Amino acid sequence: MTVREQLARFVEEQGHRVETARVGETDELCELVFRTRGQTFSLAISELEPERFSLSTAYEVPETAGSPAQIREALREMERADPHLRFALAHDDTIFILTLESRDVGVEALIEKFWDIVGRVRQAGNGAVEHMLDRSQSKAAADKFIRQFTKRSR
Amino acid sequence: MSDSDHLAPIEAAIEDEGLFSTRDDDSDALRITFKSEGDRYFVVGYRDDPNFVMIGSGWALPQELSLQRASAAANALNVRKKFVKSAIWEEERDALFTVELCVGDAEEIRPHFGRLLDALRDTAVEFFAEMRDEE
Repeated sequence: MTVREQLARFVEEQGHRVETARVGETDELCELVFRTRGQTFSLAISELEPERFSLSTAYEVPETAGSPAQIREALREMERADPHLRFALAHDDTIFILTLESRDVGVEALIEKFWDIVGRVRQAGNGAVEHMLDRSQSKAAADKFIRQFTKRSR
Repeated sequence: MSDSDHLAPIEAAIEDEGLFSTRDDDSDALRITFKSEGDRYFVVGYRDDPNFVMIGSGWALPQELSLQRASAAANALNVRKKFVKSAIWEEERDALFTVELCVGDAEEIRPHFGRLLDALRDTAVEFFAEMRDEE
């Protein structure tokens, strides 16, 4: 059984519909797309490198998240906190794509920890959204304070 | 008695969530079962009561767990949690978590199904975390 078949069968046995999409011209790279808890995830796998996978999902950037520069800085901070995670803005900075990359997890280990790994990505995504909002709110609060402070007589 | 399938919108909501489901209806009741992240859930309706819908999950309690403790934890969750009723089925040593709703049409549930599923999931997680903390 191929890596793709093993993983797709596992996710289906867990109750979830799975769509398989080929990446590129060969059969060796593919994406398994599934949904859980209202969020769509894509698991990219390679038959040639079964210890390597990446799990991605997309989140909308909140409208009140601040300037693109602030958003990028918030995402960079999240990446620094967990080097296995990659954040990329897309669609004119209206969404961000979060990817967890791993190079040393076998198929059996991935299956054993599958929902923990999905949960880790979901938690990081929710954390990033909260972090963006925190930053924008604290920035707004800081701006207000600075304006008030500099108006006072010294 | 009605022949109509008033749980069809719930079946559609499960599909919206990207999940498989199976039906097991009889002359009295409509039943849907499905899994999410490997955990089993059910939906129950009665043909003679199309306004009633129950969504739930059931979990076997470990043998070493005191039923008195489990009942106390379930009761504490009932005080605190929105939507979900927690109960200990003592004869079977099962913990049951259910959401019971009175609706004009089960279509009303469809946009909120993900939230209700999260509430069920979170309640079970909190219940078993509480049980572990007390060990």
